[in-house]
Amino acid sequence: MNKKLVSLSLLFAAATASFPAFAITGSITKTSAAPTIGILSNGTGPVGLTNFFINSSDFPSGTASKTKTLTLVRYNIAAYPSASSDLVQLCYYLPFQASPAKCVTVNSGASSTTPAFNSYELKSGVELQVRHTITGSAGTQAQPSRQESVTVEYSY
Amino acid sequence: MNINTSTSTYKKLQNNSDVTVKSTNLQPSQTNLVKDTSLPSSGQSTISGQGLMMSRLFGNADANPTIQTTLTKDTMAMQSVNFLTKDDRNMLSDLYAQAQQEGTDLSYVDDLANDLGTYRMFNHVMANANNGGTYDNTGHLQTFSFSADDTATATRILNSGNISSSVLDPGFVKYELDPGYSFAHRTNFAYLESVINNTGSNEISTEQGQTSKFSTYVSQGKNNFVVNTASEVTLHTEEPDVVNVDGVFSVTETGMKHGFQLVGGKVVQKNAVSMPDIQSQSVPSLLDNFTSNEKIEKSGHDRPATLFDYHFSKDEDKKFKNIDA
Repeated sequence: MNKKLVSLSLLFAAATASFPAFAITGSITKTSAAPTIGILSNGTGPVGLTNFFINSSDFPSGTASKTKTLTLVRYNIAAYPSASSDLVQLCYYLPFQASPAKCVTVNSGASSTTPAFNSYELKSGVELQVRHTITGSAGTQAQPSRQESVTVEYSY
Repeated sequence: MNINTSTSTYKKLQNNSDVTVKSTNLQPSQTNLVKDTSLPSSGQSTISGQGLMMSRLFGNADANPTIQTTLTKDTMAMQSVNFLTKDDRNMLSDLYAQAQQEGTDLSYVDDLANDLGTYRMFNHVMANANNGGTYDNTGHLQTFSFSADDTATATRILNSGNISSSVLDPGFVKYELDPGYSFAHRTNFAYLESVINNTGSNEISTEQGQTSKFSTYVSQGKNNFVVNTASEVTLHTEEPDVVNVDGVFSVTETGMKHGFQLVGGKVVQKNAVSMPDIQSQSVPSLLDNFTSNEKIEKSGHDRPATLFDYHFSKDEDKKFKNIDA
């Protein structure tokens, strides 16, 4: 009996090791308008948030049950040229969670890439969020330089 | 630090301009304007350090907003000062009162308060951007440094030995002086240094006494950090097989080479032989061999005892002999 168990284990190992693993790769890009922010009399503006929600329909059909590995997040952040300062955080929310799992400070106006969230699962319900806190001249309207977008790259 | 918060004189700040705020997100619990209508209209009032702090940070000298402790989608829309602890608010009240007494522009304290609030808000979830966390879109590592002046000041503060005895939380000071966390800081580091070097004794330091140094606020703007981009590409990426841009799927050239195509708007892999398919076909094949071998085993002839013996036997003649048998 023991011989059979050992043999079955070896059989499984041989079956899984005999073929080179190849992954199917994909990406999801979400674009959204960055908010115009009115600067208050104390020189700060309300926090500007842009949200990017990952839905099941963002993945190729028939792959919902497959576990996706996040391999990279690319982001295009708007700048606020008229602002005196712009503190920007990019945050990653696990599926349907109210609190971010991790955030990273990013450069205003940047088009960059980060592997900072690669340890987290990617599936329907994941959300990424860009948060701007700007200062500027009281009473002015700070206009964003462009739309904001995030691209999540994954494999399965 | 000796501050009599009850006798600080505060010249009321009043902004009569109507500000229309158009934004997708307003702060849920924060009064938007600094205008403090609770003060007499004479324009000159006596106000406590706490009233000054509340007025500057929350828009009303009598405001006492709830201290936020949990980062959620709702609280993400709030200004970071809502996360200042009770101790933070007390400490800042003292700093505002002291700044008022010394003629320091209160905006320097505002900036410090906002950065401290950011630390309270994000400390538990913030990644260090300098720990391999940022690349440009062609794979060059990017790191952030403070400006030369700020780097020199930060180094001086960190080597001063005064951090642990200052009125500021040492955890915040270290966070604030690490460009991986706070390259886009608002706090003027020279002002921060003056606060830290005023080590909590009852004496006002020489630096703190130099009221002219901070009497006029100068915003550092966006020029308080430097982005360093490595010359070598260290993040290698490949084109994905399938891309979805704002809900529209397409197959890349790489994907086409891998057999993907769009059929009726859906991504399919023509002539697909996926890993599960390969394995589902192959495992029974091996099982077949094994079970065949078992049958041979039951025949009681000279045979390999296990699958390992069978598959890795060098005696091919023996193996085939057994199969034939």
